[in-house]
Amino acid sequence: MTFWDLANNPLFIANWRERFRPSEIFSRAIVVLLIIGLIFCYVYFIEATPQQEFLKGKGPWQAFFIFALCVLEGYILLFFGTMSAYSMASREVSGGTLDFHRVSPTPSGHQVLGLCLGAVSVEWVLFGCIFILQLCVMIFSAGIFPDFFRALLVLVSFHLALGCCAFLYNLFGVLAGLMNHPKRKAANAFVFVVILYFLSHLLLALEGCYTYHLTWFPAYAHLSLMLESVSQGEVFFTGPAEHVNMFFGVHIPPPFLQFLIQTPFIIFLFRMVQRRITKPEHPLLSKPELLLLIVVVAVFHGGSTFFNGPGGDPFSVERDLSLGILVYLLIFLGYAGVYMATPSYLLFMKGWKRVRKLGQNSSGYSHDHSSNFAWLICYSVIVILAVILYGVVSQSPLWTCFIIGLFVLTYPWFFGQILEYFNLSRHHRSRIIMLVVLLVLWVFIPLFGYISSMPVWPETSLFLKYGIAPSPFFGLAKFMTVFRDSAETPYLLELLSINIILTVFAGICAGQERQKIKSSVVLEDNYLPFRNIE
Amino acid sequence: MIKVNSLRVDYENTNAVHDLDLDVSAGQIFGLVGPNGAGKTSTIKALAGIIEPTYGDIKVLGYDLELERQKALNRVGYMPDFPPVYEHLKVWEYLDVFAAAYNIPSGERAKKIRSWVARVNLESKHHAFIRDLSRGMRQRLVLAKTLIPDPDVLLLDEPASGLDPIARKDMRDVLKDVASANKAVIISSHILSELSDFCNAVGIMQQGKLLVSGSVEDIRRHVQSKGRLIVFLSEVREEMIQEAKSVLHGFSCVEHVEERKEGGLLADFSGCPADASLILAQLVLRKIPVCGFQCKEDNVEDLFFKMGMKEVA
Repeated sequence: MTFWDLANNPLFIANWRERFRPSEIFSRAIVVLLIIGLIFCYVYFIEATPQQEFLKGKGPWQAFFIFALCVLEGYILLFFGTMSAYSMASREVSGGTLDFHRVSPTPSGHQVLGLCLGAVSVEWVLFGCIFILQLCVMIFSAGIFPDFFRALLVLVSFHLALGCCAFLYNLFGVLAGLMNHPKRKAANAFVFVVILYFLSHLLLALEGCYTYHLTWFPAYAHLSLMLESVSQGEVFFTGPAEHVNMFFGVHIPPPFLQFLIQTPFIIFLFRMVQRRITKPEHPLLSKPELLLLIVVVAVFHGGSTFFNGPGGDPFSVERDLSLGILVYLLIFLGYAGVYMATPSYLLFMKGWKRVRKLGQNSSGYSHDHSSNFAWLICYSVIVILAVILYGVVSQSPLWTCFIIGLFVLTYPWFFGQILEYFNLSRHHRSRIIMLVVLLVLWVFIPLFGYISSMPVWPETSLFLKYGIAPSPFFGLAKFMTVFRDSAETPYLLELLSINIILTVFAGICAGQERQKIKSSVVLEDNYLPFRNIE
Repeated sequence: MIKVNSLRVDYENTNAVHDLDLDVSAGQIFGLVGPNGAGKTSTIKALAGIIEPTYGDIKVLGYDLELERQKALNRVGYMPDFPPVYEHLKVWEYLDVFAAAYNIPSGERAKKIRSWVARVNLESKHHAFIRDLSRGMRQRLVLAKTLIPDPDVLLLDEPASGLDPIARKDMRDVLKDVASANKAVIISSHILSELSDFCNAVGIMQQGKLLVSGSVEDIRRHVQSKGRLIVFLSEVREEMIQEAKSVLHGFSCVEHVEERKEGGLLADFSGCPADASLILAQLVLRKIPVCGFQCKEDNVEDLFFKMGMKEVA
């Protein structure tokens, strides 16, 4: 069976057959036909009449009919398709059928493809049917397009772009479905955080961030070219500012830029789903893959930020805002990465037992079972390089960049060490203790500092001055507001020292727990032989 | 065919299996017996590669499950304790999906499916939707799914749950056929009687540990198990009973002779069939009115309870 041999792909066959029952197809087809009919009536009988001010001077009804069908396709594939992917994937897990596929000889890559395409098969077929309808409308009204072949090319490339975007979203739906397990609250919470992060991207998208190309906006902005060719007035979707289609100062046509940016994320999501199927107890990405993801995101962020301003300006947005976005992006990636790169108690123990079984002395640094220490070092190298690159582009002093880099690094480092300590210690069953510790350090101490520095007490309290240091909310904000003021440098170094001391302390605690587990694994190897009948 | 060494399975808060050793050879039907929560399902899931053991070696057909997972699992059939099915598929479609998963060429699938559907007595349901099948039928369907790729190793977790007596007998026959084709079968159950008459080896699990394993005969010897001797008398007179008791006490292989409420005598018996013949002959010689004589051995259920009680003690 080859990768694209869907006719023999068990997960595709199962989902396709389940969804392609006449009753289901019939009801959906009726609803879609009804909507298409309503759109047609609206465009042809209402909007196209000469009395309607709204459409006056905007062009023939056929173009708007095609555009409206494109919007319908987007709803079907992106919204209903993703929902189907989520529900089918979550049912595979809860129903137990996924276990059968896990132990079968079908390669995991084939399973991911089968699940992603099979679960959304009805939506893809509807998408294909609507596309054929659009082509028919276009061919029968070829005369209205000044450049028919260009319009056809735009329509085809829109469908390719929307299809690519849909695959990305559908894969995300599959991943969320596979992780939705009633007993895995942490995993569910993680999915929730990732969804929030995606939604926050949509807000950023309007500001010209690379995340614009992770959405469906570029496809529709591209489609508006077709409308522009037949319309004298405004089009429905004018598209974003020109710099959004720039990458490191080079203008790239929107569909290509969208493929360029979405393809790596599709590969990463595909890999996450694959690992979720084959190794459900392991993190979604391996340690090297996590680092690669951070590099990719950093490059995309740089590509959409650097050299894209008007007249070759190094920045497309205001300089401090650009630095702020970079710093928070790196910290967010650091937190998310170190959360996934930190082994759980069981995973760490399994790793050491595996090491002993293979007769080795230590586990590889890139292995899921290993400590997050080596991962954090690699992450630090990426952050320092990113900040130095920023310094070169923005012509800032390298010393300042280095301090910024160090300050940024202390947050994921401290979180990584404290997480590893709590994961490996006897507290690993009660996560609430770690949450309380983090809440105290990140929120309560800074808030207490603010309260104790109210006008009743004229002097700034030590709590306010130094208690904010470990908090990524208060400490980092303070740092970002005063780091350009040279008079504040000693104070910033004090804050940095506090963070480094806390990180070293947490690191020592985590190291001790690692050592304890290694020792216990060595001791357990000497258990008594099992009583069995000869 | 299956060799397990020092298997340990942990979950976040519990140790499900602890230091388990197993060796199941070709043609053997190995029954894993134990109460709920003994670790049977975790053991079978670890053997099937569904959960990652904390420690231990699992070798299936000579391949290490951790290091050569795909090679090891290619010839393994796994059936869980509840039947995972696609509700909206038809019976033949469901089997076709898993025939495809095991790379059975599309030209051969229909024939294989028809033959296995017949083997598990679901011929009349060939085109029925799975959602319309009863629990027992689904169980049989999943058994057919497990057997379609013709695996060399079968891992069955409580396969008889939900089956009616006729279907249980059919399943036993199917499994005996499978084992006779030189395949290894591991089957778990807490319904002990359903294993005792067709498993040729048994392991008794409790609280994550395999208390004992081997053939039923081995286990009986291991726990120094005694059979029961029942003597039925046609006349229940005191002197006859005393006379019979004295005859029984005359044999070293008889202990704890007591009167039955229903009449007759009951005694622990650790002798061989020849000893039983001698006892009967002696009773008849002494003109004791014996109208029935039964020599009963412990079944797996009795052994299990004995093992459990012994361990708790």
